[in-house]
Amino acid sequence: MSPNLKICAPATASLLSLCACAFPRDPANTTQQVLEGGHVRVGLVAGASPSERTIMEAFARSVAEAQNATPQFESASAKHLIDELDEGDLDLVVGPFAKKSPWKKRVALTRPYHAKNDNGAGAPIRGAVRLGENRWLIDVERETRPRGS
Amino acid sequence: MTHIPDQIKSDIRTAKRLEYWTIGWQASIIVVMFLVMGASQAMKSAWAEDLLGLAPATVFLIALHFEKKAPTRQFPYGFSRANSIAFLVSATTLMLMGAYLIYDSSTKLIQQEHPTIGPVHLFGKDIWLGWAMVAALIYSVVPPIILGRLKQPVAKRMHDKVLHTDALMQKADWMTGLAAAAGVIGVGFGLWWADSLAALVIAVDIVRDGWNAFRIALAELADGAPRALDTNEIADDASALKQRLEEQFPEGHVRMRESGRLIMAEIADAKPGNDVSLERLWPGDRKTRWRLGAVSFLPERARNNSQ
Repeated sequence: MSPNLKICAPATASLLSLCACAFPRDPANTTQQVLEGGHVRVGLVAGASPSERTIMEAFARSVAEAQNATPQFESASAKHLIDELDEGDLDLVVGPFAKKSPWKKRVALTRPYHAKNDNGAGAPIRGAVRLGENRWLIDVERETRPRGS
Repeated sequence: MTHIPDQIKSDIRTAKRLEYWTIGWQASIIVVMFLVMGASQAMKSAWAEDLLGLAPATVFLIALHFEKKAPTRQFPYGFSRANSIAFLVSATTLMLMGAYLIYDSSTKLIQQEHPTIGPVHLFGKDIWLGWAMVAALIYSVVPPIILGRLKQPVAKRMHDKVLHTDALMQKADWMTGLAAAAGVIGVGFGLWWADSLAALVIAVDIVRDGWNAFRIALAELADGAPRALDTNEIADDASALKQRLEEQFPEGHVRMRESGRLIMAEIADAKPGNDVSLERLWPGDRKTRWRLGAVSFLPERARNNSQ
């Protein structure tokens, strides 16, 4: 075991750093389209309080900034937005999603965005991306953490 | 006749130790794989195979416990077939599980479901969970390779079907691990189908494992002739025994069946002479004499009645 580990650990580490940018890839190329197109198509779930809405927009902006892109917002019901996400007409949906949200089967949810809702009672703000878009999910999820952590 | 033959006692001790090692390693693999399983279909299949890999080792140890027991009034032939019964149960489980996984991964392929493998936060960094999966799979491959190799010669000497099948299954385990790793890495390259395809390949292998074990257990329980360990053919030492008995009792009709690791022979229409002993009837060398558990003689009338 130990000689194996000695070889495997550095090999894995170097692989990790080598592939940090391009790996994993998105089967439907969301990240690539965002980088090339320069904008992120964001759906904001309608019905949020003004303060929630500010948090949701801030989250979407930081996701877009990280890709040197600008966000394009639209607002509608969660169902409508997730249908659009499925069709590839949106890159990201932001809204209050519970941990055991029923949408979980249709989209990949991120961790809660770090800023707290001021009412504190509702479901936390999360991002939702298309299933299987693993590179994009990692990039979006990175923005859920406060900077510098 | 139901007690463990002296000649294989040390092999049994080795086998027992190997099976305890198997259970220990396998349990650690199951925990590690579970922790990183995520939404990967290939990981799910590989995990199921690892979980079921516990069955032969457990069956072996339980059966050994029974084999040591003396016959009772309720079970006058002893308990040497306990392992075949247990084996049949685990083989059936194996096949059902495999069939479920085939269904599960092929529906995901047909529905073109894209597996989502996100990041995990480890050591202050976001790492793709796929890497953790690959690391767990590499870990899961090493113990089965070593243990499987160690078990094979012991199983041959002991004529132990459960141990032999266990060794074969462990040999297949590393293929499973590599197939799953290929699936996960495939997903990393954006090939969504790689994961379900790997899962499907593994599931087919699980069913095959189950089917082989099932056939072997069934042959014994249906009083089939003694089988070789690795095929469904009649064992060489059993064929030699049959030939020897037919030469010695040309007027008799020889039948054989297997009870656990022992051969039970029956000669109808013949009378045992005065100097008949198992030592003399066994065609092989003395080291393997224990294989012949008993030779029974049936008078003519009894045979006619039984037909």
